[in-house]
Amino acid sequence: MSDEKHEPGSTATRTVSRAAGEHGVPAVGIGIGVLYLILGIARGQVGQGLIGLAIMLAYVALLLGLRRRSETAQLLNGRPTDERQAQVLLQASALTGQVLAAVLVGAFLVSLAADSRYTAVLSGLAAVTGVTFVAGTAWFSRRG
Amino acid sequence: MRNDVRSLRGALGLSQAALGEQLGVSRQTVIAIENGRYDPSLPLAIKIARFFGSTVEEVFHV
Repeated sequence: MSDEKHEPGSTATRTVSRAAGEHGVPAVGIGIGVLYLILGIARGQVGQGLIGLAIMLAYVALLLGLRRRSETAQLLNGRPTDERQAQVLLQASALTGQVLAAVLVGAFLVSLAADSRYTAVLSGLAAVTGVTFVAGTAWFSRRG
Repeated sequence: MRNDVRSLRGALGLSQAALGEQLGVSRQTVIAIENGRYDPSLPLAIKIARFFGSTVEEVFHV
């Protein structure tokens, strides 16, 4: 057997991991914080924008500060180093997707019952969720 | 899945971190395997067995 380190995770995990790189997650976090600020300024809510930026900067600082001492922080930085860590990220992603789907469908039903103006948006999001899940199941079942 | 990784590692005087480095996995993964919380993939199980000079069937017990 080759002595090369076995690259962890599925093809999808490896692709995302390579694309993110060493600083991908922190960079995205800072970018989101800056966006919060820009949108806050644009809406005349500078305080909220600054709070959003501060929260994201604190999150990034925590991730970077703890990544060598905490496996969770390391994984949240998007850098699994072996197959088990890649599996942890996949399981967490699947759980997140399931929770979001349930919340989305619930919100859609509530909005429908209340005749809310957000029903169309929520139904669209729920439809995207459902189609993605079906397509993903079909795709990965064929790929083995 | 029960396994003898801990005892085999101890016999060689290796720490969990050192074994992880040899196998190309994290220390936490070695811990999870030893405690039976994580079942390694077939390639990793073979790698572990060969590292200890044994077979998969002798190291891991279904």
